Amino acid sequence: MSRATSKIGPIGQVVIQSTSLCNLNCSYCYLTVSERQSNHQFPIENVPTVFGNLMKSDYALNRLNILFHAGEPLAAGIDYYRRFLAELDTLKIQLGKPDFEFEFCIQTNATLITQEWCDFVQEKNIRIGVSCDGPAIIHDATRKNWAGAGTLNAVLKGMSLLKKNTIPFSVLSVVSPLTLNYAKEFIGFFVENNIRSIGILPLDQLGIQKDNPLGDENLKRKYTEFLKILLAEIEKNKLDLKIRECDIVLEAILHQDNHYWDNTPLALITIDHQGNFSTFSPDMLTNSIPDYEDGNLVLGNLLEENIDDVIHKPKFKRMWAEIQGGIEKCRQSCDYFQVCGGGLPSVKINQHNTFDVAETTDCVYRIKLVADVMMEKLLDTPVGAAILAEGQA
Amino acid sequence: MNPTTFGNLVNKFRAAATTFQAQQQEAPNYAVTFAKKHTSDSFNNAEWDKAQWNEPPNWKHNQTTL
Repeated sequence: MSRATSKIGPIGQVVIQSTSLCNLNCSYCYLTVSERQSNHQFPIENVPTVFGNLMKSDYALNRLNILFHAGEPLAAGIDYYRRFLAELDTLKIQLGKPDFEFEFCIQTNATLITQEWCDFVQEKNIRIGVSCDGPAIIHDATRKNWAGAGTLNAVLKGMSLLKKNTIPFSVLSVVSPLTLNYAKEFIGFFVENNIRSIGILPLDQLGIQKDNPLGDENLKRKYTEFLKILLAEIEKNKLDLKIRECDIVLEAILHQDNHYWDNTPLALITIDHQGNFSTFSPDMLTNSIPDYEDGNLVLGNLLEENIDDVIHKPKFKRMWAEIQGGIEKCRQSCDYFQVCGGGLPSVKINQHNTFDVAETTDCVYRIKLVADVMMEKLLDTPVGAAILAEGQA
Repeated sequence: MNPTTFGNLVNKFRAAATTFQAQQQEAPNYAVTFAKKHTSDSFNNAEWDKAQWNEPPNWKHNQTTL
């Protein structure tokens, strides 16, 4: 077993589906329409069992990051979270862990934010991530309400309230082929709205199809050009704006090998409203893989079994062995391994029906193209010129 | 060994990271800005470790071994 792939835990983050309900009907959502129209809530009375399970784990630290996601979390209402957090406070005392720290995050579409939500977020020190795809021509094309109308204006009202209350937030943007046509408008939108940090998530349809897993070259060129335009605008206007994907790659190039938690069992645990859980990538809880085991990647239910027992399950062992095999293939075959650490398991199985493979289109768009652009930036410096000269000597 | 492969360039930039952060450059460069921010206490504490990415800080430390 190799060094970088032999570790389990610690449990760093729990992504929990507080409610499956969503007030929006985004075209690329990975939840079904039926799920998003049903108010399936994670029952408050299950908080002690599920979180006690996690806090008592051999893989637990003395802190846990809880991200409410998968559905629109705010649709559950403020009172739901008041009771949820109160249960966790009680649990800490019951387990004799008064110093256990919870950090709370909500990934929201921002359309339901009110002053009351802002007060609650500040009171409980909850971190906020807003999902927004940029200017109306992009955002409203996919992020619609159930009546089919664009939602950007409602999002802007929500973000405006956050800013009025000086609540910091980041923005996650799905980048689709449409976005690539509007690079300047995209970056201009975030500048205009005083957003300081954005994450860009290449949409699956960015050339990712099972019969053409590496996408077409034209789309790759467009994505590279898109990244270059974003950076050029930031540089030209000396903007204080961070792009997460670029910073992650730069950190890896300059300082340390990257290693996504997606490749570490139990580092991230995803739990649905029924207590079913999976680990590795968050979307593995909802993935349907007809040819794999029992057709899904769910590893059990935290209402019924101990989290630590999962590592003894044949299904987990198969997944983990394949994931390790895939990482090893990446290590041996990919020149970008240091800035990636082995790719995302969920994408590997979606595209290849096994985890035991190396490159996926996610690697290309999320890592390789970004890394090439960042390396170009690094080489366009005196130090970079010296490195190049040394190589040619 | 090709000295300009991506992996080799990464190794060279890591070896030169301190020099890179200290270099002066007039033209704005996203990578240089990142590197300089990375060295400042305010960046480390306020922006990187507690960046608003809905990800736990320092999650990769303290891992146990199977």
